[in-house]
Amino acid sequence: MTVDTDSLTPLRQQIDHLDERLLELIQQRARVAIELGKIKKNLSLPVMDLVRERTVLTRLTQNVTPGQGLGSEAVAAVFTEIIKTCREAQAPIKVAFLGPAGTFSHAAALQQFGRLATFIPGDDLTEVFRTAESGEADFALVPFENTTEGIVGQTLDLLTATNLRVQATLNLRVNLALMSAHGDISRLKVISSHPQALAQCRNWLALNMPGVELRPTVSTAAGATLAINDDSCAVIGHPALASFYKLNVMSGGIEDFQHNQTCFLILSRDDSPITGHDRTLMWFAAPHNSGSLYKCLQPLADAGVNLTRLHSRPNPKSPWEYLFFLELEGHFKEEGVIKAIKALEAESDKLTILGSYEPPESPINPLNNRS
Amino acid sequence: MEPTCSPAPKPQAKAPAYKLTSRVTHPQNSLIPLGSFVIGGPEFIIMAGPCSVEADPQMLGTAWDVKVAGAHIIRGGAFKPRSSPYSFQGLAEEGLKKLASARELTGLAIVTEVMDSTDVDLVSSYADILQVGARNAQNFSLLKRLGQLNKPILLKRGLMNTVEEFLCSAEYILAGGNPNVILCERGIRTFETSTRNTLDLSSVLAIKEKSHLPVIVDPSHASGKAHYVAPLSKAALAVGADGLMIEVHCDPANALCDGEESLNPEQFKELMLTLKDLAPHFGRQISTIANHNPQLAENA
Repeated sequence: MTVDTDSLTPLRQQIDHLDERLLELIQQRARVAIELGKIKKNLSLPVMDLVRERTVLTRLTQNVTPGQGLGSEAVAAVFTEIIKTCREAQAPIKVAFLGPAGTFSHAAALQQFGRLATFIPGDDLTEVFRTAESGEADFALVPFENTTEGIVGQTLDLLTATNLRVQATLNLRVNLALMSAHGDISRLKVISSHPQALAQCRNWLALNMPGVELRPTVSTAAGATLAINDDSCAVIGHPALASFYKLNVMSGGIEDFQHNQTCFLILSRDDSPITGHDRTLMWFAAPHNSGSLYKCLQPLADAGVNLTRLHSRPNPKSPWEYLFFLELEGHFKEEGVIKAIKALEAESDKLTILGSYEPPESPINPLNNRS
Repeated sequence: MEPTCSPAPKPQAKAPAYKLTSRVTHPQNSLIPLGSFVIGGPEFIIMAGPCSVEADPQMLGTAWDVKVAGAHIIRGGAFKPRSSPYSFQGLAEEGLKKLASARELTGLAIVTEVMDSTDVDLVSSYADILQVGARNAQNFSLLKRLGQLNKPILLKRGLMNTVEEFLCSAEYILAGGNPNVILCERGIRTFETSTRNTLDLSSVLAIKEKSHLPVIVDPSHASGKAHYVAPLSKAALAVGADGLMIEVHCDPANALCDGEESLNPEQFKELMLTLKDLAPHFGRQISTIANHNPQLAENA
């Protein structure tokens, strides 16, 4: 059978022509971004403006007509890369995260900042905070809450002793994939990963990979290293790591529970601007007597400010005393919110605002709002 | 001719009213684990909170005060069985969410009432213990449905139920496959009008004799008077109850439901300290208030 390749030629020529135009436009966009970067530097503004990046993306995806070329999700994916790449051309972003490479924090950082950013893994959360506090990193990305494990206490403790501000939050579904160097599922003899990741896919493995040896490793990263060097070995981890380790995804979404997600905080030394749908996180200490928390919360109810989170944490400096972490609707620079926070502050022993940010699209564990 | 199929078993001449609930079949006390506590053991379990869940900050404020005072479990009604249809009926799922946020804040388990079989799935998706109210104590379809769960059930004694009828109600839940039943004496209807109901403290002894299930006492609903709550609580401890259910409201005067029988947080704290001191005399303990708690020093 002969294939008529002649009919492809005109379309391929069109593609080549369009690619040239795209390249020209992307280069043009990068040059404008670099120009913008210089101005930001002169005004001492941060290179990365999360709110602006989100606005750019929303504007583009809103204009997508369904059924004409790519859908809005695909358009978002293409433009996310363009935005991240152009931003990197302004100045490389440095991000501290809880290492080693291959952790979920790493996957979250890759999702938020793109592959071109410089990632600085920290041995523990204290080090991640310190790296951003000292200016060595522009951002710190720290786990805040998990649907099954709950709030991350150590993050709360570190928030009480930092001058970093919460800039944004990010929800990452605990999404696991089976990856190997070659991508051929029939050659597998060993599957390696952190014991927790193996446990989260127990049912899937029993059903689809009977007889394959499960080898626990100290980290997902260690599992990935095994998979790179051994053709009969695969690793289970977040699919974002496939490109980082040059692995092939053989099967995605293999976790047994699909609703498990982790919320991360993105911290920096700057405040984010008002977007109109912000939330504000703060912590405070309440006097040690009956009714004190009630008195602290009453001004918020009076001002009609919605409470979206309230956690308690023992005060490490004083036994039997607690600190409260409160999230409310609104930006701390908005008038109504300023008033409510002032009234709360008057009832509390000590209050520190940690920052305002846009909430993730599907918050993990919102306190119920008053209607 | 003999019939080919076997005949239906004849009812026994005198079938026991309850079997699984009886101490005959289970001589040891039942222990019901809940988080880091065990109900029915040496720990004297205190469930406390507002009668009904109201808007913030009432629920969160009260929950926090109750935790700091040493309660083990937070109570609060989202579905309220009220004598009059015109009384406040509760916040329903909205109220369950507020209870869940109180659990998030305090780390304590929550107990709340389920009034109808159709709400069982909804309520059990939020609550750690499901409560059957006195008015539903003989709602057998509800009891059967709860028998299919694994979560602990707090079964209140019906206003007009004898101890035997009470144990029969529990039997419905146990027979369905759920062994985690906690009984609650909350007063019965008698000719006496000086209290809202007559708290039948001797029923605790009768139940302990006949059954292995844990029993707690609700002095708030029984008396209907806040200043009766502390003395009756001490009596319940003395008589051998496994715990108490007490109504606490951060602002009793403005409570939407049963404010006159609610303690304020200060009164509750005082009662908790007294109970902690008394508990060892009756082979009990309250471990949620530590000895180096500054509250104790203040009150010593």
